[in-house]
Amino acid sequence: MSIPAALMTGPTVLEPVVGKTDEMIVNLGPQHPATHGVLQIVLGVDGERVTRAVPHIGFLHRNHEKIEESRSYAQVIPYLDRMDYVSGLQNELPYCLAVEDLAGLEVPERAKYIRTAMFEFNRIISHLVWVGTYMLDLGAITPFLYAFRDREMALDIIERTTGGRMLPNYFTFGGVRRDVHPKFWQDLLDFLDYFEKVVPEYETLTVDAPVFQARSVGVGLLSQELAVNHGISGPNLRASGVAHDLRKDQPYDAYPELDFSVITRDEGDVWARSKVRMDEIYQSIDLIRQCAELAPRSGPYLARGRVKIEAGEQRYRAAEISRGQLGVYIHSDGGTGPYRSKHRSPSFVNLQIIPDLFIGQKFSDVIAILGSIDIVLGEVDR
Amino acid sequence: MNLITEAAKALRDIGKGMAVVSRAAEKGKHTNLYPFEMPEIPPVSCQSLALIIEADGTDRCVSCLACEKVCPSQVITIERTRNPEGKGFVLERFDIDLVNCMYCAACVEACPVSAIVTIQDFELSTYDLQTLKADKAFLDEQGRRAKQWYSPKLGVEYRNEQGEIQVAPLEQQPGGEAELLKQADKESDN
Amino acid sequence: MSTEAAINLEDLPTLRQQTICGEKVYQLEDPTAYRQLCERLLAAGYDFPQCLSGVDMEYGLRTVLHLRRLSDQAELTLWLDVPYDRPHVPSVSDLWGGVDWHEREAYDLVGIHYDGHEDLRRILLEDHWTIHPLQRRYDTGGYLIPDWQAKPWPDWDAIAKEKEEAARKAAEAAEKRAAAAKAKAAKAVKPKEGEGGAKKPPLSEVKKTSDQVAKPKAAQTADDLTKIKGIGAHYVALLKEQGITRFEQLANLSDDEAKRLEEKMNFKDRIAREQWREQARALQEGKS
Repeated sequence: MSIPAALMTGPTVLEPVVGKTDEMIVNLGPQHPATHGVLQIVLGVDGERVTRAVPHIGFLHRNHEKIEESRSYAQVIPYLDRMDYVSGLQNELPYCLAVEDLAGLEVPERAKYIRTAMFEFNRIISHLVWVGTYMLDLGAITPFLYAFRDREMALDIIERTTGGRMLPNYFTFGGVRRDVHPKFWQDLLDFLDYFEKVVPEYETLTVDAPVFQARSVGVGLLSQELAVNHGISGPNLRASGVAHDLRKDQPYDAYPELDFSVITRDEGDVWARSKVRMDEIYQSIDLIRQCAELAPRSGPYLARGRVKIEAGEQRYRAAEISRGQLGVYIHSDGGTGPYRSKHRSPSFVNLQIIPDLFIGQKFSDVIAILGSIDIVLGEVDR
Repeated sequence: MNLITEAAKALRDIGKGMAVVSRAAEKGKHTNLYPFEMPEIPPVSCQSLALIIEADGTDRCVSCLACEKVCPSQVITIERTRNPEGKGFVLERFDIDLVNCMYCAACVEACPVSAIVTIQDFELSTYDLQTLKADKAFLDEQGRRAKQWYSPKLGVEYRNEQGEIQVAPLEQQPGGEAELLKQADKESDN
Repeated sequence: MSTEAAINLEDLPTLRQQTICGEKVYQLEDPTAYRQLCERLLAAGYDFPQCLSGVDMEYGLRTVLHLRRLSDQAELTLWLDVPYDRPHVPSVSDLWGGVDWHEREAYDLVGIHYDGHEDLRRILLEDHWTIHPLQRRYDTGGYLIPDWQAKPWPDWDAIAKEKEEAARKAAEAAEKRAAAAKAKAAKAVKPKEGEGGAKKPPLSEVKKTSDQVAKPKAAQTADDLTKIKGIGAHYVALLKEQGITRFEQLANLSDDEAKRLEEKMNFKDRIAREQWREQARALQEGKS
């Protein structure tokens, strides 16, 4: 077994640059709590400035795509939950949309609204985890406790309908797997009434707090051109002034009927990314209220149909999950399962920008920038 | 902005934050003292799997192998033989590897007779993983112990004091709202 | 559309265009053409790299590139097939920074070599890994499948011709079916008209003499009465018992007739309150 020489020259271990005697090599991770999982970043530091940064991923790799080769279309769905375990439900949607497109299944009206409400509800949950863990990275413990207190209540509502908290396995082709709990919409609205009063508290403790502002304003600037060219998506892209949101640009499910506008900010720094996420929590509250108002209370929740996809058919569908554009590419060979399914996970793409953001920044800002990108390693490594 | 106004603003904003924190202290606790206070788990919650035995002692399972086929993790093993007297099969073996099971409840969806159900017993921690390679006796015991369980075909069910199986009222069932609305509609029509 | 036309595609060798499931797909077999086309697409405004995937097609390896233009949300797909023994594809990570790690992943898992990529290392698996697990010759455990054989390279021209032929045949068949259905319908309608004409006079007489509100006419089909606000499936059945199946009948009800109907069916003034007659008239006019 010989290893190609070309493969070993990569900077798994950074060699000190000749003539730069002050440069120090620092390993951030893979067991660092601020990396939200097992991510290793090899940093070259010259004094307080970061000179080089090489991220290493793959510590959580499970190769979902190989597993899915031997599964049927419906059997793939539980695996999707495990990609981005913070917002499990959202992962299932693009895959369901793609298979519905290929198999020509129509989703009933009521299922569309249930899916959209669940989707937005998961966005709130995901952003709550982000608030908590990000502030924990920056040294504030209190918001973490509040965020997880509210997340617990939100997960209870999801569990009452789907039977699962983080890995619910709820969406399916042509609708949702089971009907909602009788008090589902009422629970949602009650929670939102409570939650709407709590979000300003989060804002006071995060984006409005002078300590946080001192650490975030002007830090980790991401220009519009760089963001688009690197395929950055989600709040990170919108904080750089690009009004790209698949809920608006390529609407799916009940989004065409809902009234909302894309949230953008022009600053492109850590603070702007945080602010966009905070505003998105308000937007999600509004969207769920609209869903609760418009959704039919009775009617079919699932259009049953056979999933039969011809050989050679292929489809790329994407949806805007809380971290950005989650896409799935399905290639069919006419069998019972996908011949090849590739998942374009937003965290995987967003993480590529790390060297560009880190180099030249102060060492103490590294964690602030990394946390603001909002990655979930389960999704990066798949 | 000079230093004094900046410092004053910072102090004011920090004061706001402290006010939020002190207000939260009045709101009471949000945690459970777990082994002494059990959390309330909704009946549809999928924490573990069980096999249901009817009140007269017969198995619900008809050994149709639907769950075995549909399982994504392929952890269900069923062996069956033809029933010598009459129709159907005799269940020889029903194993679920609860270690590798991912509790997606696909088997529960597939079961035509609601024999395999989801239950809310989450306390499966053990020192020996081999105890979680569940056989039929284990799953039967889980079903006998369960207060209530859920299957998509029959909804939420529970065992009453006489040991008979009853279906829970519509207010607790998934989709109960739509059913109640339908009933109300019919009544207003008639 | 104007920018679409600005992309010069004609001088690129082995280029095929097709639409699969509503997606525009450019299919290529020449790596240099792939690179040239990518440069032109970037110039034409396809600025957002969505996804790059490697697929093992069992005759060779395919790179699938999904692009998006943020200005008008146009989407585009590129296929490039390369044979197993020469799996080299020019890298486009210098055009779109976003495909950098996707190319590394495709190299890692599928085994496509991206020439010109500045840091082509394994990304998800460890550096000393020897196989590319997403190739179809390996099973889920990563072992070689013993009797696995590569398929012959497909003859795309023949396949395209076959597809065209099939589409043409399907269209012809559909046309034939449509024509046959038309002829059948014409045949079926004619005698009915005759029958209806013969039956009409007695029926109208019956209507005049009868104290019944209305009688169904054999020649005319029933309307979907549920379109009227206030009428559900339950009422449709009740109305059918009274012989009302069409908008026209409902619209032409006199006040007396309506009252009688309400008494009979326990409607309690619903006809007037929910304006069934007005609704039915509007629907009738909309239909004719």
